[in-house]
Amino acid sequence: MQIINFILDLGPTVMMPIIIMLLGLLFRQGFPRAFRSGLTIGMGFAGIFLVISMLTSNLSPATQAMVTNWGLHLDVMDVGWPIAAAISFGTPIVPAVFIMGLFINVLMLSMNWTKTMDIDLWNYWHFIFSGALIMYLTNSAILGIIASGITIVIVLKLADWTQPYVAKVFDMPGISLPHTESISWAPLGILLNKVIDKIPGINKIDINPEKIQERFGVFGEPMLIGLVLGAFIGVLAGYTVEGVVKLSVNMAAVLFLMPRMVRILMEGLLPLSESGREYLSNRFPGKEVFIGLDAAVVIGHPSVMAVCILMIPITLLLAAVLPGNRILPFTDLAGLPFCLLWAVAPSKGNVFRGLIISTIFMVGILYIATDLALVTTLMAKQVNFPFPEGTAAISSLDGGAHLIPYIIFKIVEIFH
Amino acid sequence: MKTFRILTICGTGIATSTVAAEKCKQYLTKRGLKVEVVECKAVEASGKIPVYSPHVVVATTPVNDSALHGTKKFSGLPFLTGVGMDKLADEIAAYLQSLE
Repeated sequence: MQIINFILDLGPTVMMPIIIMLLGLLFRQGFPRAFRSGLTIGMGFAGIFLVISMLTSNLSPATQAMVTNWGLHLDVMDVGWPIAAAISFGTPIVPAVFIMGLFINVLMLSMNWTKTMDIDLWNYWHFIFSGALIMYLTNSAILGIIASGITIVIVLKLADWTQPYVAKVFDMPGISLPHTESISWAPLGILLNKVIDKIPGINKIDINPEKIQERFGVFGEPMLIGLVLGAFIGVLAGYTVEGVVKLSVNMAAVLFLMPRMVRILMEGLLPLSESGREYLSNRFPGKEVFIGLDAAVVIGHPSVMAVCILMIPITLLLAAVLPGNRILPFTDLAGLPFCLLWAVAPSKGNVFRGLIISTIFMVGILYIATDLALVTTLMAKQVNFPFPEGTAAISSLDGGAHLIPYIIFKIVEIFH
Repeated sequence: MKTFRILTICGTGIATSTVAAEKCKQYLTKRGLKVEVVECKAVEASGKIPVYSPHVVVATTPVNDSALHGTKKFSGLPFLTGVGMDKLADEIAAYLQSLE
């Protein structure tokens, strides 16, 4: 017992490597390979912590100044999905969720309750995140793990249900997208699209995505988003020119470096991901399945890209004017495609409809992200995330997009 | 022996392109080719290609043809799904060797 507490206290930089290494040994990777991937994960965490330190130490005083100067209640920092993933991988329920997840998928496949074989083990972090939300709300790891399980089942079913769209709109037969933060919104997106279908006049409009990508595509680059937004925030915070430029470049650096640090984490997870995939494939040789992949494989679609570029200013505007919204969109402006995928897919890539539905989604995402700030910040503190003095709260737009886990969260909240 | 430059393109430049890049390197090296693999996101492709001048692009997400600047593109999905990896690697290897 002492040993376990000792390891837990060391924080994710040490704990995760050990856990991943043990999981690797469980899957018979052999000690050298398991050890390396464990250590690489530790490196990934170290890198991520460095960048988030840079983010909070730069952005926190600026947002506080903004609040003081303008009364803008945007005091929740959007640290983005990379941090949400890193935090999730730092919670103690990781191995339980991994193993349970594989078990549930295998069970559902053998009983023909699903056709999706989710080999995207990286995105198990969403299930872990769901579980963690409930765990920190109720102080019970068991309830958290159960919540993860429920999320997995729902996501697999939604993936099955939406597969025809993936095949037709994105030209990916045999693939489904059991990716929590996108697919949670699929039912709503499909519904809203049907509603628009019935509105005379509006239902005929479409906008060409290629033109938008050509003219504005460059604004979708994280480095530039950071630069421009950083400058804008610096100005609102009342900084000197020197201050504005410094903040601007530092923010560009954060958005540029963060994904690269997460990549290191991902590299460490690769062998485990492979093992999981082999395990699943070997259980069902020759069975007709949908291969469940990361939604990243479809977000390059021109309509999705176009909508997300246009949604950057719209999101910022919504964040500023919506009463009660406290989250300042930032890091996840580069990750909008994941949240808004199903605003675009149901209409087969109609950019106009995509924009309308995305805007509606975004209202929900902003409020959910604000509501989850407390528990997200708590989670981060529990996994020893470096927080400089006086930082308010953190959340992420991506977290706000976890609609299904959120629904579970609110239901549990009522009874708790 | 010539080192071939491969650019893998994905939606985020993190998860899927890492897998595709690693597999690509693994499978092509097994076929006796020397390769260097670099990754980027779909939005960065248009800027990256003229600078890096890859011999071939392996994409795991849709990429605009105009962004490719004429570079040959292969779909990297097999490296992700695990289905058809050998066939894809054979096709890429054959194309690269035809460039010599």
